[in-house]
Amino acid sequence: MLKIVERAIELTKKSGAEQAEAFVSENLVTTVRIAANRVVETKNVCDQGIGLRAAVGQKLGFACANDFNQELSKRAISIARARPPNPDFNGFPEPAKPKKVKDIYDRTLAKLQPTRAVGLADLMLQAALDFDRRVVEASGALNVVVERCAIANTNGLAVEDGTTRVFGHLTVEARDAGRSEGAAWLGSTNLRGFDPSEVGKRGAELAVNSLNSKKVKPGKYSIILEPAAVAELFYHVFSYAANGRDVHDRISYLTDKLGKVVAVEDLSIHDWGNMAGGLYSKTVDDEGVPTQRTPLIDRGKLIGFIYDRYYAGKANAANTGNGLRLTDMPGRYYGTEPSPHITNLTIDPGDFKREELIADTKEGLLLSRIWYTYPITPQLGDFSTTSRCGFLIHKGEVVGAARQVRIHENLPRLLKQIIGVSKDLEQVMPWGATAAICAPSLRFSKVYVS
Amino acid sequence: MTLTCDIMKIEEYAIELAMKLGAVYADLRMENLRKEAILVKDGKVEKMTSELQRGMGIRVLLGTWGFASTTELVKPTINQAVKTAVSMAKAVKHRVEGRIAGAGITDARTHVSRKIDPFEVEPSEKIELCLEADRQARVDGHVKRTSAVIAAQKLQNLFLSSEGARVQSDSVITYAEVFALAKKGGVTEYFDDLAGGTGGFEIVKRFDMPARAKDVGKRAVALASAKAMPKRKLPVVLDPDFVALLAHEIIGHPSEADRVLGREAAWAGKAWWAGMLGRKIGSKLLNAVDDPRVEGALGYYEYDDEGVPARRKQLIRDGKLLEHMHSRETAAEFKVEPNGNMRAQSFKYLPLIRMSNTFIEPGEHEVEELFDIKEGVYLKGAKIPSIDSRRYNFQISAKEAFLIRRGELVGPFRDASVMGIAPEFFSSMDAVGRDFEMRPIPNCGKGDPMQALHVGNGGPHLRAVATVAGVG
Repeated sequence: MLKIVERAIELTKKSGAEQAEAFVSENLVTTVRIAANRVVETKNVCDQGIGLRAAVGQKLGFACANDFNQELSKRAISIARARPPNPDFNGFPEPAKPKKVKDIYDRTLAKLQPTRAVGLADLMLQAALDFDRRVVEASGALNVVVERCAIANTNGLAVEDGTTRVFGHLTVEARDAGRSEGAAWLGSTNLRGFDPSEVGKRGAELAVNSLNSKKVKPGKYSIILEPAAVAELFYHVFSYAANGRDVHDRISYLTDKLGKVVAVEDLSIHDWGNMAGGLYSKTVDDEGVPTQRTPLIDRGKLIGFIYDRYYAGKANAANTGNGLRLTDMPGRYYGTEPSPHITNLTIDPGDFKREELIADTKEGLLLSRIWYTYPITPQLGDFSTTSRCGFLIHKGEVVGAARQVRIHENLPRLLKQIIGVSKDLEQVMPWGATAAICAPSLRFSKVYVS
Repeated sequence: MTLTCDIMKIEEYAIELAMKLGAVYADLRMENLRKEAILVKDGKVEKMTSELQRGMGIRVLLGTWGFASTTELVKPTINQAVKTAVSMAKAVKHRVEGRIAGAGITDARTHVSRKIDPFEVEPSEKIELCLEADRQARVDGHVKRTSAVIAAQKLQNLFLSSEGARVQSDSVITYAEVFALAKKGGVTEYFDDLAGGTGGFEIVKRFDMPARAKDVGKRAVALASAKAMPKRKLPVVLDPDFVALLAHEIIGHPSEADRVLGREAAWAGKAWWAGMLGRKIGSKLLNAVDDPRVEGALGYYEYDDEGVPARRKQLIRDGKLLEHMHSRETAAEFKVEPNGNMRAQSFKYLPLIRMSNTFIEPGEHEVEELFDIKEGVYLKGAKIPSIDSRRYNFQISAKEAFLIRRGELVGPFRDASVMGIAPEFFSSMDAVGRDFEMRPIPNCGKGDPMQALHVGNGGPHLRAVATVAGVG
């Protein structure tokens, strides 16, 4: 791969570029999809291509294709020549020696035969169906992702990277007098760290516990969000607010808040691109910049945002190694230019056991999963969501399942109403997310539900 | 950018190989895609891009679906892709001899007409148009951020099946968008507008980007000066842009038969009206359709990705649930004809049941009549939805809101959302306008891995009862 990007740079320079950067990626994505208690689809995607950025002065052109030839260089350069300069274009990164990141590439997983993925999905499904006689239906998917890339630019940067991950998700339905739903998600960067049966068991257990749900009266409650629910909220609402591009564009509620208190003292958050075993860890970002641990909120105070090279330049801030090329298909994608995006958004663990958070709640709700959580007004941090698995808490004990509630709230206000952070963290990738969230359970006071 | 004879031979070889390896059915999609885009932000050209993609996806049926795709169109790689698709399907323990409904054998060529090829328009013209729109959006000093986008894509697609179907299609999509963000006092608000559909650069010309951008700038400033909407349950009048997202979220999605059957339970969710075909689900004024053959709409096509001819479906008539959207597989389960709603984002993905152009049909009321109420709220333009997994409990935020007081509009108000329960909301519909507008929705998400698709949605003005609230 390195040879391809280095040759692409050489030819692009010969074609007239003053600066150039080439990015090659190859993604292998295997998906086994389960619906209504059987495997209904098995899929294997092999996607490879090259993205080329060519600059003439401060005029930058981007072109991509599935393979490299001289025409691609010419196309990128002709785009650059056709456009006016962008005074904010600040070139490509200088070479830097990245440190090895532990446990992000597993050879066993990289060589896993697609047919073995089918076996893993079967284990996931069977564990759910065997859990309890009240479990009637399970749907979900198992994904194996192997991504490799190489980046080179005219500053002499030339680097390769590769990562693997396996993740499984199951939504389980149980029936008794009524119906209920449970869900579980587990992922790992290596095969030995992934237990497919555990996905099935956890989903089934939640479904069975969710039977016989009771209606929740509208009002203000103390609410505990479990890690999957915290991940959904923080991916869809917080991660974009902490993105240097959205802050620059003033559509983040954190714009003009740097250095200010934005959460309770118990809350610290960072993006951790080089976390050992992180599901979205990488050695370098998609511009070749070494990844890092970037503090965002330190004991309640906002101290940073994530940046790629371009937006770091615009903000006169340090590049945090978050220039990523993403698309809907998992993997690093040659077809887009880099832009800032989180990797592993990590909330620091607190002092409480999950059970202690429950025991401290007089009247409240424990929400295991929330759904379709989007910022209504990102510049204010308002969001709306519904619960998908929830429980009633009465006098410090879980007393039964709760029917669906809607939460129509404001994240900045909720971050100041956190009254408990659990010790245990889980890595979760919400549906459709292109990052992982390492989340504890969080307890909030006075959350309005309807 | 033509599909050469050589490549087509490779495709025929792939289908033959799949059948030899044991598939009971196989089909294949091969694509050539060309995309270009310009983004101007705050007076500067920030991105100018060109994308070429080609590749092939093969789907086999052996009691379950096997699928493989590749971007390397050479015989050894295609060989490997076919073998992988077949071997993965064979590795499934509990295969079911499922049926797929007959689709007829098609041999067709389709073509989307365009007056002005967007790829023939000089880059300088597009750049100047975006820069001018961006300038116009900055109506006064309160406007802090502006942007303008022009994008186009040309797709050549070949579909081939083991039953002998062959569909060659070429389509063009053109898209433009303008955006402005304003800050006044402590309030930041934004407004945007877009146009997009199948067709050429005439879509951009009709949109009149500079004029729209100026309007967007003014409305962003007006919203930044507006008060937030207080929470109340009362009659709401929704404009066609808002109704478009409503039709998308609480009619289009639950009409997908895979959701109705619970097959999407783990991702997009289910449908609250499962098992209710033929039953009343709303007011007799509610009529809804999915029609891929609305020319110019963003969800236009003539054959779906199973080679099934596209056709209009009356999803709801006089408030009664009549029909769902189907694949060949779900059509067989429902014992109906397939109706052409299987689509994939690209050759890289296995097709799923997707809406095409889903809309609420116009009614008999003059639009002015809808405002003839003592008190209500007029919501214009849809922003962000939050819908539960059964499409039952919904929330959709509006770009602008106005109080209606004895037929007069007071406002605008900012940050208003409509919240409701789908069957209650449908039952409360008491007036539907004669007007109609189709809107583009360029990023409808479904599937695992996620597939973002172009669809069209629309409707008339309509009136119903819902809770309107900001976040107080």
